[in-house]
Amino acid sequence: MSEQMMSLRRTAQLLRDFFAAATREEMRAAHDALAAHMPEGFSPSRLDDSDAARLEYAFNRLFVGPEALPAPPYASIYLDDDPLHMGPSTLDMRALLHSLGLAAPHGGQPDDFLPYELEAWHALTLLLDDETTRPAARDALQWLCEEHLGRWLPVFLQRARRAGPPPELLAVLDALDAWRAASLQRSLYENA
Amino acid sequence: MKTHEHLAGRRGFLKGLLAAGAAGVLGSGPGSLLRPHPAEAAPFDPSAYEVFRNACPRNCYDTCSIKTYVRDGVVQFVEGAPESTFTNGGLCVKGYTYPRRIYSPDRIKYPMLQEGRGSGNWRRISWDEAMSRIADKILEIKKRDGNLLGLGLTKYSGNFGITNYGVEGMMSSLGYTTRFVGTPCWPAGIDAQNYDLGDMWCNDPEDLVKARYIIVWGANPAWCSMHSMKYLYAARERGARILVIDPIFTQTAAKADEFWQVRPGTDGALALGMARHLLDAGLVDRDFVQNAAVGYEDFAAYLKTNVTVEWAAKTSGIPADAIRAATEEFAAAKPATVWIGYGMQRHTNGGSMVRAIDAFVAMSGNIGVEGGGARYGHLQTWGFNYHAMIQKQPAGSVGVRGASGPKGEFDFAGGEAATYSDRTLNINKTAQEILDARDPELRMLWIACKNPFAQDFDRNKLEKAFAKLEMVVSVEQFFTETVRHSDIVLPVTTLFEEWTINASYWHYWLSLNEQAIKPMHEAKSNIEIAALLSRAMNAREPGSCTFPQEVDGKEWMIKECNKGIYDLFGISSWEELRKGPAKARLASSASWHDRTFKTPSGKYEFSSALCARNGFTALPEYVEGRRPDAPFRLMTPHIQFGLHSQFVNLDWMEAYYPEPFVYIHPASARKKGIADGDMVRVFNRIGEVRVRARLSGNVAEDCVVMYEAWFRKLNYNVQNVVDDCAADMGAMKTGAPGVAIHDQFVDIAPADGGRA
Repeated sequence: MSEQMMSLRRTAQLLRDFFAAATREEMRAAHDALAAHMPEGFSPSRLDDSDAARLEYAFNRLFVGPEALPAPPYASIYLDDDPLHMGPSTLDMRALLHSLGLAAPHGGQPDDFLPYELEAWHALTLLLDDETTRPAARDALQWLCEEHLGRWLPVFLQRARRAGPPPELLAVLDALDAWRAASLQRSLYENA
Repeated sequence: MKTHEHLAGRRGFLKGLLAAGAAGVLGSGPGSLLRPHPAEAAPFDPSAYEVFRNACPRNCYDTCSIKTYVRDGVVQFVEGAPESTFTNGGLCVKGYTYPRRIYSPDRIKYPMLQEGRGSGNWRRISWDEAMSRIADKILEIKKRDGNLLGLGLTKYSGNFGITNYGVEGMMSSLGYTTRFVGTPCWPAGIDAQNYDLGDMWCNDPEDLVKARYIIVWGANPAWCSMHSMKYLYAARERGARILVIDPIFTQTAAKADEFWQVRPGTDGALALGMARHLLDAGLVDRDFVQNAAVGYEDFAAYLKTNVTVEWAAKTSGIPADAIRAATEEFAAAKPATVWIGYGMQRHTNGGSMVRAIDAFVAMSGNIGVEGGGARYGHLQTWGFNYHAMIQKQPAGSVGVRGASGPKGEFDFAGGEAATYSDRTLNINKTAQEILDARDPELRMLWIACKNPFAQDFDRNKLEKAFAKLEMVVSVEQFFTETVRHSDIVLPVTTLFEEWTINASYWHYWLSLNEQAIKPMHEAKSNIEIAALLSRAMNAREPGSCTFPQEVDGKEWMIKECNKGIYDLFGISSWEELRKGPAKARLASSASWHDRTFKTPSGKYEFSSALCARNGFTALPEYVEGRRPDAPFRLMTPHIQFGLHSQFVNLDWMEAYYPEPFVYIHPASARKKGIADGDMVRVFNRIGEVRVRARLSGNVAEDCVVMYEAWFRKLNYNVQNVVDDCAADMGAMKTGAPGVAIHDQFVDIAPADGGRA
């Protein structure tokens, strides 16, 4: 297992935690962990209370609600003909998760929620370690990174950046962008 | 974005993962969000739709029966139920957008808390935290005031599914609270029909096909009850004549044989002129007025003394010859009917106008006749148990001393004697009532099935009123202006995510509403929310809330049904509704078919002592309307692509209707220096609206029209310039008078240099 893969797995987990955060404390913890894991671009590396409050409000404005979202963190909004939840792209992810023996935790939460997709990527990379599952996992990763995440994340990131995120959120978006770019290297999976 | 490759064409690796037993290799890692799921090898079957029964629960005549097609747990499309001859297999343009509502990315997903009302600083909170904060506030109010009258509920027609009356039940289960009562919709007409007939009860709309002459008076079914249009067309094919009377040349008017552009607020004069001509021409149904009615001679004397056709023509703007000709045709056609629209009674003289039309129809002998009738609405099929609504107050609750009063036209609980009751405030003066409430002040407001900032009158005053509230809780699906003015918002289910049952106030069909899909995100139904609140209340103070702490939506839907409902609809169980909606078994399609009226006399009352006792005239006399205080009358009726503030925010509707306009007659626009497309100010003493002008001969020269709607991306709200002036009637049956929505006056001027 390459060091890069190990690092990217850790990044995926931390990004997952960040985008799944429901509270200010979860968000701050995920942010600070990301900053510790990949310090470049994160300043400050630890958020104070006022930074954390600003981050939370901005995060909710962009990704959670209750106002209409500039950048919903769901694949189908960007990939499907209709910008709605539970479209073909959501069901793609559901099929992939089910083939991994996994499912979104709640029937009403779309399967293509960004944190679930990051976790699915992480799970697939674990299957590269086993030679019986490796070929299918490689194919699946290729689809996930190139056809799925690789296609919607750039639009998502563009919309999120345009929505005026504060610096602490911008740093996370940059981290996600960097992870996305790295995840597209086929060699990453060939060499596993 | 161009279409990308979906997994449908790339399923090889899925099979590979399954075959390799990937599922067995993976375990839950640290912080894992995903859950184990049994591996599925079942092939995808595109024909594997599950079909569910649903019903559109909006405040709409049509209350459509819906068939919902679900695949993979996802609503794929909806269609009108073919089993209902009324819905007849088709939905309206709004109904077909329902999947866009369920799956809109704009839906409110989680309970949220706004730190600083109006700040836009929202925090996501758990249901537990939301309920804890709300329960703490309720208990604090109770401790401070010694009662819960500082807690108010405003709710109306956003979801008419019967189990949603559990919101009222939730309030009762907490104690005696403050309720906003009445209705902005139809109360003046309800009282009017109660004075004349003893109840509001309309013919089956499907018997419109039997009519030989139809007057659609102040209604626009082409937009607002499109399923009724087929009966109008069928009647015309059978030789009926259709006359539309409306201040606006509506789409319904465009389909009619004849259109009268009546001067707004003078419909009563017009109806009285028609009644006078029945009298003059010897066209009165003597049998009806002598044997089935009381007070006719007094009314005839009033007409002879006070009304002429020429006066009616001058007052209403309709030529005398046209009045005479139509009256004669109406009288000659058997049966003939008038559809009395709700817009027509939204005036300071609205109830009196409905009474005048009732009287005209009664004199013509068309009451109690199939294909005839003075059609307004009915609540004949609403005999549910109201199990969710009827909850007991906790022991020792204190409220307003005395028996409970009416709580609206849909209050079926009955006014049982009680030591205490809720405090009632007028829903049509919400802003003023909040500002004026004392002993105790209104401290906390729960808002469900309603969007006050879009619906309640005098928006600027409402803003001041909300500033007075200590806590505002909204139960919503989208980020409306009301949510912006809230402290906590709770996500509520759409009709596809909950169990309930629905009846109509126009047709006679009953529809089951099944839960077709799991609720999206963290949405919960109104009764589930009530149960959660009960849990939080009882955890803090045992016995402080009587609402059950666990509810099963399906069980609660069943609890609303009873033998009376089953007998009326000819079914043995609610489960029969799974095969399709059922229609009430009617002895006749005509209301009042046996001429037994529910008035004190048991007859049709041209002269109503009850009406006189309530402060009006015993006879349906002419009452002058509200006097203008600005150059143009403003009318704010319903748009085709929305229902009040619902639907217009959905993407498909935005495609049809991206922008509102104020419609103004070209001659008036010219005088004001306004060209088509100009940005204008529509203003009066309470506020203004900035909007583009559209020049249209469909409106009279002294009127302007802005359709009521909520646009998610636009700052447009007709309530900026609609005040809370009361209609005449409505207090008797709905708890508060109606509101004179169409007795509003404005001026108009170019804005921002006009062409923007």
